[in-house]
Amino acid sequence: MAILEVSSLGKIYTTRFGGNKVQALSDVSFSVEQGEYVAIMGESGSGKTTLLNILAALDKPTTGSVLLEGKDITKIKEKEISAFRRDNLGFVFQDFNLLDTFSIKDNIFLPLVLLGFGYDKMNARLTPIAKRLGITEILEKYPYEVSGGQKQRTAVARAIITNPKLILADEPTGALDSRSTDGLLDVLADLNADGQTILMVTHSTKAASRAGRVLFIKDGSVYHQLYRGNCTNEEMYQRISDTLTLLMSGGDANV
Amino acid sequence: MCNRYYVRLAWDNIRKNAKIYIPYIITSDMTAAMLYIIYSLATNPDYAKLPRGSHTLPEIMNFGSYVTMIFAFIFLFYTNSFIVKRRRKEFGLLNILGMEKRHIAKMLFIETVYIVLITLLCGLGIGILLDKLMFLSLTRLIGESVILGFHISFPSLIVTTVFILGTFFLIYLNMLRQIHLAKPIELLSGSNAGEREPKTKIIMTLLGLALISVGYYLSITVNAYYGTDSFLVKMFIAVICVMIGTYFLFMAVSITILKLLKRNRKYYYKTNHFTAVSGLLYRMKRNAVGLASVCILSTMVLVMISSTTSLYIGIDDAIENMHPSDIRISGINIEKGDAVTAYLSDKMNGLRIDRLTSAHLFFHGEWTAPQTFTKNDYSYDPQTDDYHLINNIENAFTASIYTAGAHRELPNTGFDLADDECVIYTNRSGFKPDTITMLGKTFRVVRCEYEEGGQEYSTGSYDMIVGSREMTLEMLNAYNSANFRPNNGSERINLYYADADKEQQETQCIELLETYLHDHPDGGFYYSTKMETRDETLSIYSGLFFLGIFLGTLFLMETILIIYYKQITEGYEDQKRFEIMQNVGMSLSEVVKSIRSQILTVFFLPLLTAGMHVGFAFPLINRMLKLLDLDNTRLFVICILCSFGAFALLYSMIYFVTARTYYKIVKN
Repeated sequence: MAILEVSSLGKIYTTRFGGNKVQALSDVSFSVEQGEYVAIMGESGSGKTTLLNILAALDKPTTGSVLLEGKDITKIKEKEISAFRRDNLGFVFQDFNLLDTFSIKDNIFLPLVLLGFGYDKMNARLTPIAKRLGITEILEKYPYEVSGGQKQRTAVARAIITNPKLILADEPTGALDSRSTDGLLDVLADLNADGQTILMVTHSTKAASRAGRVLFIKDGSVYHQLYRGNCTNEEMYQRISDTLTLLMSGGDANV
Repeated sequence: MCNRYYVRLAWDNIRKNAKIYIPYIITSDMTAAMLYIIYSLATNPDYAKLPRGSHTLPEIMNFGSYVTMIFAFIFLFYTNSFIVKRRRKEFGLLNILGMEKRHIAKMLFIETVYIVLITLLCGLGIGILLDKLMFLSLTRLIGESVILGFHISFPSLIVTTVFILGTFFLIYLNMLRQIHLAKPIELLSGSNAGEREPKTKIIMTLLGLALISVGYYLSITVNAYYGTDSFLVKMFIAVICVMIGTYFLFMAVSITILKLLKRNRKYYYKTNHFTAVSGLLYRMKRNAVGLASVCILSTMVLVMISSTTSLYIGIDDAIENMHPSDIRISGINIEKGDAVTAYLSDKMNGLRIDRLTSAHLFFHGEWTAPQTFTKNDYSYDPQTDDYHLINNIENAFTASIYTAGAHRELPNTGFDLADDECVIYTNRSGFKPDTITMLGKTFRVVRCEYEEGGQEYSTGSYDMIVGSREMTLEMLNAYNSANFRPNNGSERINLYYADADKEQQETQCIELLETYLHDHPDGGFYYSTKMETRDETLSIYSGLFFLGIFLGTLFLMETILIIYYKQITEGYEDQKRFEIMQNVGMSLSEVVKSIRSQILTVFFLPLLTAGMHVGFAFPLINRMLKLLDLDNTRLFVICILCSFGAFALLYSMIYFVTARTYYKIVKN
């Protein structure tokens, strides 16, 4: 069953003084199945960020619809959007988005506190997650005291502690060194293996090669997609970079 | 690079940073204008044209101009540090783009020149325009008619210009120092260096609480009877304690409290408290000094305005206290007093004469029953006083006997006493008798007050107030006939005019007294009149009132500026936090609600603390006003409440205006 269905999504930005119109997305359609791990790739300016913002209910499309479990998130009232996002979506960002006024633990608790959980209940949820992500030791520390990889794992913990239907990851490895990148990708693959649906936007071939399916976006529409099938990570990596080369040289879609 | 380029660059810099420069320039303009005005008021030649009493005004204004200079210097320096902090990143960028530090220095120099020029032009212009108005309001305050004529005070122009040039030169040097010390990369990362969670400072917390308690305790307990010097010293200590305590309060006590709240999991992990407590912790750390300054400035404004207003409004009460009669003749002995009063009542009809005699007696001897000194009965028998045998000074004592009525020598002598009753002020703390026998006459002690500070003199001193002049004379005669020393009584003669035209009577009475003094060169008295005293006091109180409002305005301006810069700085820092909170699932309105509660707390904490300070300063200032002869607690309470109300209103207005700027930045 498709957990997310995106159909003929279009977005036109009008510049501030009304002169120029920029088409960020022209016609994007795809769907994500329950338990899938999808990566979306594309160059800067291809419309990736716009797409992610619309999926995150941060922005409204000009045309088209986004159905999350059958519910059109583009039609949700402004008032209910925050609650909707809190209940259904988990976010991982390139620059971590941790609040420096909170300890690691409190950063992870933030969405639960907003949902009105008590301390004991929150702690019960945190313990297994922290253990799994290897951040038990640093829970009492502050974001400026830990490494980038630890920060990003904290952000993942914050994203999954609400048991969201879908995790949206925006360039999660963008600010990490290669060792931390590997660690984080392992964590995401591990979560996916347990049935967590993940949608990741990325530049990185390495990150995309761990996904079950890769969508390529060019000039505001889905240009191509690759299924993993039975490929290993290395084979997948090769196929993605071949596709990217084609994309860059403007070649045909068929590989 | 050519100079024209720098001139343009400097101007562009000021324009680009208009949000922080416009308030700065307005402040420096106003500061220059105020300095010009106050110094011009101190040197205005038109005082000569004002009638009596106005010679104190230039002195008060001169004092005011020093105070203005000191605070103007601190304020301008302080405001500039905000600007440098905000522009660090810009300097770092210019540095990396290839401008050497000396180029930046040149650019800053031209910027400073611009600001100085604007300040001098606008500031002095505004000053010159408002100067006349201020002089007129001052003369109106002392109730004199308007003197027309326009004048520009050249001494003041020079003083203000030199002050502004000097101050901005030092500010410029300070900016250079900050830029030279820093590495470009430090400049670039500038304000957003990783901030640690503040630590609990136990010692500072305890010290802060202790200092404030000491200050408050002194304010409540300090006693002004007689010991004016020790009163002022204690007042000074109290003020210093509370000032330092306030800084500690904001820097440490607030953080300790928040940390305790944070430790309480049940309280902390609630939607409303979670972001507020942790956010406040950081805000308090970053803003502690600014908030404490705002608190102290607010307290100063409130105290200054409420006390000077009370003095100005309550002037009639004060005059009544310091000069109850229309004319007073003092320092005259009893025989000469008889002569003058006879002369006056002969020449003037309807003049009421009230003679208040006091006798100043010196005893060298022992109480008759030293072993019973702790009992409730004391007596003194002059017969045992052997002047030549006793050389132990501790056994000597003086006693002054006053007739109940208005005496300047004693703070309060307006008692209604029967013939066998008396009131005693003494410097011997253990002295609490029910009755006292003095020179063979026994009195019931209605009230006995210990006079602080008197203990340091080894001579015992007893001031006794008795009900009537006859009684005082009786004691004086008893003393004289006991043959120790020559006659030692003096009089204070209060004269009251008839209800008719008082000014005419005053002229007549002064003429008579002058004639009498002329005819009797050994008349041995001086006199003062209520009207003269009123004129003089009015000019002092008006001067203080004017200065209170004037300095109050200066402090208020700086308070507004600190708050404004605080909001801007916080706005930029909160921008990112706002975004993150929305990203993790808070709605815009939730974020705004959470941040608003923090800002409100941070914003109104100084006002509440200032209110508390003023509350505890109340007994102290009330007593100080009593020293200045204003004994009207009700009026002072009303003045405090009114100034607090007005100040709170103004403060809230500042909040709403600056909060708008804040939200504009944050929601950007």
